[in-house]
Amino acid sequence: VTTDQLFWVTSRAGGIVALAAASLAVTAGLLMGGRFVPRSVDLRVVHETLSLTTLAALAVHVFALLGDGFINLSLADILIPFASSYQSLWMAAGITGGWMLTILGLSYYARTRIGVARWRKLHRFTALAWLLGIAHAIGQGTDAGTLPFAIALAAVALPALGLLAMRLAPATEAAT
Amino acid sequence: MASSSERRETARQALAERARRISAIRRRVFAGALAAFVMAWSVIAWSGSMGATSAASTTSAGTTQSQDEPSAVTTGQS
Repeated sequence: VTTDQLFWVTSRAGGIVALAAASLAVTAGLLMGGRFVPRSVDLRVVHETLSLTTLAALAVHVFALLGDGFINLSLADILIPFASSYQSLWMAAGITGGWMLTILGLSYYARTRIGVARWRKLHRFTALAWLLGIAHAIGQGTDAGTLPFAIALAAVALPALGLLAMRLAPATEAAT
Repeated sequence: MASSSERRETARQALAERARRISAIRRRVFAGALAAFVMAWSVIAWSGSMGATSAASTTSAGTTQSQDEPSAVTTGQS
């Protein structure tokens, strides 16, 4: 692995961990909010820690790209949706999802100032940010076509998708 | 009946136990994430796959290259 590839490999590994941690955090969050399991401090701590892990891995994924001399992305390219012409739609999905995860995730620590009820409504959009991350990984991820990635993604994302579908189902039925 | 100092001590022990449990959960989650990162990094580096080379596209740098970052073979890197 050369120096250039070092950053590239680090970014990819960071992205994989961010996606896995986000999927597990969403699963834990849906388990808490969906009353599938008794409300416990432990599950809340797992959810919070996985969320913080996601943000750390996301930072590694994003900022390692700056060191990659081949793809040559600028700070604006990696932080502003559609700033880069490199696969701009998938990049924008990832950047938007990343910002949403960061803002919605860290808003937990300002929930009393925001108002707990309002914060809970906002927090639901975390699932959308997670879905954008999955779209980004599948659409643009270098590892998306590989079997280990597909197995790992299915293992962490399918339970969360199932729980999300169960959560959304009553709302959809009530609306019709 | 327990005195107020005994109740305080019991409560203090319960809080300490909870803090220990929370700290252990955090350590395990962070350790798991770190292990996953090292494993992902090793698998990617070991496989030598630096990206697909099937589709050509133009990057922001204005150079023609593959869909993803090409492999060391295609870039001439070792």
